[in-house]
Amino acid sequence: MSRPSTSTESTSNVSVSNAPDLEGWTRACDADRLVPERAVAALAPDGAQVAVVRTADGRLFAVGHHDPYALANVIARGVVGTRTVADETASEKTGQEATGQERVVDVIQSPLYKQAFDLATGEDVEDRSVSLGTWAVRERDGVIELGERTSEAGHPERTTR
Amino acid sequence: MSEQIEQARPRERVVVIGAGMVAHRFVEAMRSRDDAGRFDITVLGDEPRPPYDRVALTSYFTGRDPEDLNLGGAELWADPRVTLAKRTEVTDVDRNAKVVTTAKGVRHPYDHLVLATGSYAAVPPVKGNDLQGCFVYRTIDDVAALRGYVEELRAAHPERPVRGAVVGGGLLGLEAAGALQALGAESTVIEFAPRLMPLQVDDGGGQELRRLIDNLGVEVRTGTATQRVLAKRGRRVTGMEFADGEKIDVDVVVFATGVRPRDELARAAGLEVGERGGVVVDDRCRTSDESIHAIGEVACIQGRVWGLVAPGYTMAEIAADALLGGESSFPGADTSTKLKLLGVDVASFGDAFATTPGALEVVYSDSVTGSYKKLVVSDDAQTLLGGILVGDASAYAGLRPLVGRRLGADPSSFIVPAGAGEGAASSLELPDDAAVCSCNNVSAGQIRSAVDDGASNLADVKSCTKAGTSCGSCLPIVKKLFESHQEKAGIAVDRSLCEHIPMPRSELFNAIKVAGLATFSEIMERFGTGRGCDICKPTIANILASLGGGHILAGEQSTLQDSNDHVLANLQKDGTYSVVPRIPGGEITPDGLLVIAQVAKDFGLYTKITGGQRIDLFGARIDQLPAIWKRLVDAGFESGHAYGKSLRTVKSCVGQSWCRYGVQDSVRMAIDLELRYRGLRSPHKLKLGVSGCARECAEARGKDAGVIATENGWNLYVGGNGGATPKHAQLLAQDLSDAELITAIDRFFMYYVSTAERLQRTAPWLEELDGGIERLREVIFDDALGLCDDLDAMMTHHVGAYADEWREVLEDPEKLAQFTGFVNDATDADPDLLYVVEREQVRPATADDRARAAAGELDLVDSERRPVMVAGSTLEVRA
Repeated sequence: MSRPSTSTESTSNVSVSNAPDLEGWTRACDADRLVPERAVAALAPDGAQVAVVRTADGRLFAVGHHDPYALANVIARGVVGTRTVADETASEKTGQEATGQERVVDVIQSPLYKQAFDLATGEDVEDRSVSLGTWAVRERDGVIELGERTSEAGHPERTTR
Repeated sequence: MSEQIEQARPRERVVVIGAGMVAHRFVEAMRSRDDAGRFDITVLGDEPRPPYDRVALTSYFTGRDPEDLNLGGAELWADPRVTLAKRTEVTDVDRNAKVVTTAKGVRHPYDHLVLATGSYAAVPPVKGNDLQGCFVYRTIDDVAALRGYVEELRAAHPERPVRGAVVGGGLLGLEAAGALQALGAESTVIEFAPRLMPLQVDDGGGQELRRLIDNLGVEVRTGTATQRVLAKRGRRVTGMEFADGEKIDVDVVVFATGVRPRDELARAAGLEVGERGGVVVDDRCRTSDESIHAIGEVACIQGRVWGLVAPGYTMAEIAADALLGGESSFPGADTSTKLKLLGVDVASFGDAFATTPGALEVVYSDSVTGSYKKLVVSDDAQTLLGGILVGDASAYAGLRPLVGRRLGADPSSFIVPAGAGEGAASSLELPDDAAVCSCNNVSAGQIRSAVDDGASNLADVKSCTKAGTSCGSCLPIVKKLFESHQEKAGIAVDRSLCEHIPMPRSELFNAIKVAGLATFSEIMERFGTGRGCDICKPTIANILASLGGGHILAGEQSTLQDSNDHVLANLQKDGTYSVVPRIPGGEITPDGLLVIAQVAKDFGLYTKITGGQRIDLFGARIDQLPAIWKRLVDAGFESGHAYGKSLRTVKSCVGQSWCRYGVQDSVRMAIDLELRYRGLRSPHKLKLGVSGCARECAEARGKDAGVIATENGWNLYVGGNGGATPKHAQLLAQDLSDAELITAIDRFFMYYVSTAERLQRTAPWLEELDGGIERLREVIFDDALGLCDDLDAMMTHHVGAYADEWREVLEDPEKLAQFTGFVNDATDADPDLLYVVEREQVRPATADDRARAAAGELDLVDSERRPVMVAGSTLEVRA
């Protein structure tokens, strides 16, 4: 399975300057419909169900609405927050030992079985092979718009349903 | 090679005669230590039940079920190596053939025999001691018979109280007097010695004890010998006559004049028996026949028979150790006792009567508050030898482990009032070898090692050391040892709520309340770090709601709510929700039922009566919730809060209005309580039950607050729950009026809401509450913390501010907006929602169902309950 892109490479953050063409973007909702720290469910241009979140500091994220463990479309109803995780990025990139450093990531938690998913990458913070998938999202003229899928979903070996 | 020999050896048969507390402890010790599986154990008991806690016998009268007294989990008796035969009387021990024979003629061969037959209650040889109405106080059957007789008399003579007398003013006699009182009978205690509890307390303590017991309405006659029990006509007791010729009218006589060892089997088998009875054993509990051990009250060890459970437990451990090849021997008995008799605390420990040469006594006596405290110290006043505490025995747990040790302070400082005694004792550092729990012989060192081995809370310490699991009197000191050692060992007790909030919920609640904060942002700024998570956000939302923070979906609070609270419904496994309208007290009109039925039918909802006796409608999409609730609210229903950590339901029986046994209107009370506490947010869900009579059809004792009707009002039980760790609620107060009941529950709930931890239900909260149910009584009824006004005000605010959460949502377009399937798709319906029709209702389709549907073997319906067509592996909604 291909690894989803990391947060720094992702286009899921607001990055209007290098946005692709207007074509291919779909309207999600008015910007003021999005209450900070609470997701809404929307349909992406590819027809997928996604959860769109604006964090308290104003960043936008879009991850899959489908819970890969529970096999139900519920992620947008989860609690948004932060989680401190071990930073494994360095070791993955360089093949070196894990640094033991910690970092704080933005997460949305499944309302069913409470797994926490990294909003930037869509990955389960405790098992990064499992992912919700991510989509491009931006705000333009007071409207939240969804773009193309930016990383694939990853499924667990065992589901809870 | 030695291993092979081990395996080849047949298992040894251990037969235990007697199935009391000591037999239970012996079996438990054998099973926990016989790792090699060498022994099969057969326990033969003559009572019709497994071993039970005889020490707590009197609690049978305060409504506890006999089963509550059972010792040990059922798993001990389910162990294939253990066989328990109840109702089995042993009639013969054949030492040559090594076989015991039961009354039914069953033969049990043994390799090792353990006599644990205990004692029988001695009845003094006074005339009339066998009349109808004479009882002893030893077994559950004895106690049940006494209760039955008193209740029968009460029914026959409703015009006057039943008059009871107890012969014997010792520990058991006072227990029996308390039992008579609990049954609503008058009681007189008759003691031959010049004071009560002559074996445990001295004259000064006896005087204070008598004063306290007199005040409770129990008549005490000391220095009085019973001549005979009288019956005017027939065989029923009507009176008693004393040695001085005086007669009194009584209906019931309980003999509590001590116990005698049941050593008749041993005598018949020719074993050596002590001068005053009891099977003589050596320090390792072996009788004159080396295949036979005797333990507990039937054993005469070091020349004495011990009628206390602690030495019995020690003997059980020694006998088990001996069979397993150990070398331990009897260290002598600790006769320390702490009891609550008729609500009066009495404790006696060490050399209570100052028999040590040169011993000095320090006495503090205060008849105004009703307490007597005496310490016995060595001739240099440095070493504690023993003591007696009457009225206020709170210092016992701290003092008893200090027996034989230097006090290091003026002895009087340990018994002066205002809690200073407890403070002085507990500030001392107990050495590792000091015995803390005498029932289970646990030392301070064992508590400390349990902490070192990773016990992270008091419950862990209790389960791995057994400390405090019998009489519980040592729990305060166990708790202190646990906490101070944790601190000292540098084991940081992480009580943080989560990575964002560095304190437990109980502290956070008070911090928010004291600081008067009303928003999440303010709270995080002041007490937390970061933006929160699914632990702290819902917890803070819950606290704000408990403190009366308005609608749970108002403004910022909306973002904090757990997913269920956020949509005021219960999320099910497929992502749809279930809906529970409130039906207060379970009372519903046929028209109400029709409304619910029609809603369920129109939306195709799976309908089920829940475990909590409510109607639950399953399978509603998030966007359907407002329309469903519009119909329900218009018909007069309101949110049932099935989604919240809040009051769920008040279950009730039909009560006096219809039931031929009901003594109060339980339905009305249930409705009143449900309407009072509805919407109250708490650390965990809250359930109540109201039963209209003692038959308890509402199963109220399985609830956080259980109310059971009496002829005089209501009994209130608290701290019960069902679920994975079922707990029966404990009696908090009796015969309350309606108003008293409501005040008591108000304060109980608000005290719990203010001090419990996250997701801690009332039962574990009560278990961890310092001082337990007695402390709770003091807080609620005696205002021991000066909090009652505060608690009352909190509840008054809650009741006044209550509004139906769903009605408010329906009236507010902003709150309604979130009930959408997809913000950019008006059809809203999630096409992945598929259902199987089963028993005429829908249930979510499993992956297997979907595969079968794709193969054309099964029909599915969508969330609108329309049939779906399956094409290949994809499913399409038929237009």
